[in-house]
Amino acid sequence: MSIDWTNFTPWLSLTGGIILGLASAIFILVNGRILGISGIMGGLMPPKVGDTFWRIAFLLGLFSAPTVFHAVVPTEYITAPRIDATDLMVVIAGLLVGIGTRYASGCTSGHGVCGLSRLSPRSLVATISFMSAGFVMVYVMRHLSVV
Amino acid sequence: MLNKKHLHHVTEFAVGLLFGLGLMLSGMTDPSKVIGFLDLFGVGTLHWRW
Repeated sequence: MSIDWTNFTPWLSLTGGIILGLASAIFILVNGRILGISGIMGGLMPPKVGDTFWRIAFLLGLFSAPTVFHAVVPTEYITAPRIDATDLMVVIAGLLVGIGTRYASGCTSGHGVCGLSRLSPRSLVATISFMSAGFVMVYVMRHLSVV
Repeated sequence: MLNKKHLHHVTEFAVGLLFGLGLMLSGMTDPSKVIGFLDLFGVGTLHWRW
């Protein structure tokens, strides 16, 4: 087994992970809210009076991240995301993610980052479930040549 | 006057931005990287990526 150093970036991933944890910690300590992207977004559908502006403020920050990232980070560290799927597959996948997060009352950020660090048993179950499903699906799609 | 509510909106924006930057830096905005992480049996083809 050899290591592909152009794609294996543990230090960048570690730094990114620390930033994600920091953002979640600030959110719960300063604002008293759980940082869960799907929940924050879902609360806007439909928007409720007095419970909308903070969600938009958060999402504006989130959506401006690519612009800031490209302005700050040297180009040699930026790689273009690669999506090996058709537009239709992306739409179906997005829908499935939405349904799943609704049933699980949270997504990877809410359960995996915030929930686990709060030692929530429900989040542990959710995280084990979606990570296992992810491992299995990738195995099926990539190694059993179903698609 | 800048009250606590206004300050909260600043942190809401900043936390969103910080979270997005963390996602990008870690590579989680790249589906091929995420799939590479989930590909436990990809050793030999594309190695374990994370």
